[in-house]
Amino acid sequence: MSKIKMKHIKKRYDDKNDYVIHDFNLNIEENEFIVFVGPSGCGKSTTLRMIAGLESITSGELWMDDKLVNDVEPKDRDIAMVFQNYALFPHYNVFDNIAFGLKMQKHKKQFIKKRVEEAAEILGLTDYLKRKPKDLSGGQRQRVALGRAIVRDAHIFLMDEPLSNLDAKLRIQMRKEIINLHRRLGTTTIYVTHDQTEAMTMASRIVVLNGGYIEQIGTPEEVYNTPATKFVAEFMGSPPMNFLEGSIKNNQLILHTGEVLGNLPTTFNDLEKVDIGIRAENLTVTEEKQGLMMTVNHVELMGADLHIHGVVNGKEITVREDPKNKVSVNDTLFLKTNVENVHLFDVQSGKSLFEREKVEV
Amino acid sequence: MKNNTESKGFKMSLYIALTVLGILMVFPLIWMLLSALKSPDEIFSVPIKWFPEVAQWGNFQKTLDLAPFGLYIFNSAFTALVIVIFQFILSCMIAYALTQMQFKGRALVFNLILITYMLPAEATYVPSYTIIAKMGLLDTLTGVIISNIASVFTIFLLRQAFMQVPKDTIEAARAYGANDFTILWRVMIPMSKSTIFVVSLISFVKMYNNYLWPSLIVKSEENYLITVGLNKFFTSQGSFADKWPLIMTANVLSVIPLLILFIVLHKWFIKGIGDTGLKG
Amino acid sequence: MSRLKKSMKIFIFLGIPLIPLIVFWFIPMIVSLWLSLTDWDYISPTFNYVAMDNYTYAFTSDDFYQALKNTVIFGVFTVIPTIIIGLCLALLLREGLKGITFFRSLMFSPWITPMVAMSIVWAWIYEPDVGLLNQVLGFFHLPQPDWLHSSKSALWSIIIVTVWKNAGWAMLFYSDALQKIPRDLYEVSELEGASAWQRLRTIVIPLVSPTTLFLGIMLAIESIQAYDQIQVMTQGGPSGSTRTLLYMYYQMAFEQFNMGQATAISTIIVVITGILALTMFYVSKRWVHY
Repeated sequence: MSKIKMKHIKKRYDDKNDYVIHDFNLNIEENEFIVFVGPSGCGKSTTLRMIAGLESITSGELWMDDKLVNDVEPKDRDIAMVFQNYALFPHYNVFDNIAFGLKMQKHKKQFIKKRVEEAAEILGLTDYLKRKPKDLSGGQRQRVALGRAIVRDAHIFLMDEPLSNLDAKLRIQMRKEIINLHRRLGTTTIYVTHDQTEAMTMASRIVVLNGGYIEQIGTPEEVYNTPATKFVAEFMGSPPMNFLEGSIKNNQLILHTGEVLGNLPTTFNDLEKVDIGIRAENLTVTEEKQGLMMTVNHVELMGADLHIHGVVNGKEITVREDPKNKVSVNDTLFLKTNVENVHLFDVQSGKSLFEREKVEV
Repeated sequence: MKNNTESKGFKMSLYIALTVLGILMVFPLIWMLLSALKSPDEIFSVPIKWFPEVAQWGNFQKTLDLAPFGLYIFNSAFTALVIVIFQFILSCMIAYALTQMQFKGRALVFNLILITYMLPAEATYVPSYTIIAKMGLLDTLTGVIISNIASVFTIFLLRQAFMQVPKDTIEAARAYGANDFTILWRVMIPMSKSTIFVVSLISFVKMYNNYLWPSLIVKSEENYLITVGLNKFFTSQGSFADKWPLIMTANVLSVIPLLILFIVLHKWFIKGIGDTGLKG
Repeated sequence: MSRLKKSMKIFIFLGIPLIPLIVFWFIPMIVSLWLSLTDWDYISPTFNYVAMDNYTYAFTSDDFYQALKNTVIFGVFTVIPTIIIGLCLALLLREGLKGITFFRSLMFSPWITPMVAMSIVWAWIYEPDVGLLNQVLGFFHLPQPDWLHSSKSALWSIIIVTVWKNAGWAMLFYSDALQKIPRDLYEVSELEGASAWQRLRTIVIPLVSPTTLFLGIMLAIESIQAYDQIQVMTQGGPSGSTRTLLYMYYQMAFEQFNMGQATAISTIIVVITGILALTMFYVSKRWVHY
């Protein structure tokens, strides 16, 4: 199980002028389950493919354990990769697909058979070894792809959006299976996804990427509770965080309408403009006719929760409430929040104003 | 891919290999052109003379004086064009019936067409020749045209293209009151136009290059197609050594219309043939 | 919709357009089969039913077996090289290469040109004493065969021309097939450390196999129908060494006007073609992986 160290990694395609990855730095410890998450085009897959050796590294250093691997062939990097479209060989049956890598390395037949059968056992594919991929369901195909990775006995697993072609229910099940597999094998894993739920539920640490930059690296809790940037705050969590505009004066947080939200817990300089982020669960509907006034334009009953969408001072806001509340469209509600729970972001850079303290902690 | 910079040397050698292969493939064409511009002495010289000392452009005039190649080319281009137009009209209708109409025996008709697609046209020549003779169309361009307007190849590919047109679109057109002719003309044909174009192009080339069947039908010089005229010219002049440059000139004349067509439309040929899954 | 109107519509869309197909394909096919049972000579108005005589004659004549052998040799040795060269060209001309359309056009251009014209050019290149090919071979002190003038080499000379003309066509089909192979399969093999040869064997060849089958059968059917190059370059000679079944059929029908025997040969050609076509249908059903 390997450590991976990425130092100042940059990527630019030969025929383009702009970098697609700018200065990527990350240390991955043994047995970690790292998730790269971000919108499409953020560079997450490119980074993964650089680690795999399928893309060249323009500059910077990629270390695996204590070896610089920038120029090492993919096959010598001791990695196994699972692809979004499974990348199964349509003309081989399950056994031969799983055995592919071992055959390429010319292992003994006996050995291959044993390894493949073990992997099939783990993945519940024993009864399907003779089938061709076209006769398998999506979930089974993905298991075959996982099987091919397992038999390699690689020290690093790379997974490129492996669940995005599955339907919602199967995705949740496979999520569990992959986590269990990781627990069982302990292989250092890097997993790429655009789905923040997958990131939150699977990762030991999350790397949030946007436009080729790392926005934040942290555990799911850190990323959710103390987002480093406005982008992270918006991207992680469902429903997305609400944003209002305001200012800070004498350590008081004031909405741009003049409403005073309260005293900030730590000392801040006065700021004329600040982005205020509040999660839906940190807003509550109050009976008192004061606070933020919201006009409801849409109500969604999610089962355990009620999502109330509306407008506060021209900004779209979502509130998570108890379904016991009876709310209908066009109602006017008053909301309150605790200043302890707000997130503050610099208007220009989008960086969290709490960030400095977090780093110290 | 990984090796974006995949060693410059490798790329270089790939290009060199491709250039050599490319030259080899077109070499007979180049050699034809060079020979066409040589004098009789140069063309027979041993050791070989690669380039004519003075390009004998006059060879073209001499060739045209011996045989009316302009007329042959016109005959070929004209018949090929008329044939392609008829093939297009008939095949569109048949393909439409086969894909959009429900009737008994549809599968049978299609299977008959499919079988014919595979069978050699040559097997029909004896009876077809008799039929053309009975119709009094021997030695006429009409005979060449009429016997070629049924193209199983076109029907087959248009049927495939028409099957790709989404059912919803056709049903929507029908719901808004379009009749079959309107659907064919305004929906099916526009939505399959790239296949139609490529198929027509290939058909045109094949008809222009067609030799055996027309050589049986046309007898008099004014009806010669270019392939027939060219081979007659070759057999009649080939025995005179000093006429060899003129034979090559005649070759150049016969190939040039197609080469121009190919240079202008090469993207269609290159892209179309592989993707539409055309039979040659 | 009334039945009458529906029948009318089918008649217009299918009945009328099918007439040329019926007149120049379906009827001649059947008539040809029937003629093969007669001794018709095209000129005389009467003829006799001779049952299987024409077939018996064919199957007992040496000329027929020589033509059959020539046809098979011509078929096998045009199809296999065309397929191999076509695949190699397609592999060299990978997607994303600069100038790919230009190179593809170069390779494909022989297909566009009339076989008659190219056969004349090749006949000139093959000319034993003054032709380009032997002069070049002589320069390198290599043996200089008589090409079209010797019964040993004439068929092979025609095979070379045919392969040259069709290789670019096969290339286009392979280019398309190669482009459809998912890129991640190559990446898997790269990660697993497959060599170029392993990659060719485990990915490329199996995944283009439907195209190989299609091309193999189509080229085989086309090879049976080869006529122009034989007519221009050798007229079946020297001493019958380039006479294929089709050329034999042509000579019997349109040189000797021996229609009965000619149509018997054409029926045999149809049967061979039919077997090839059926093979394709049945094999391809089991061959497609997706």
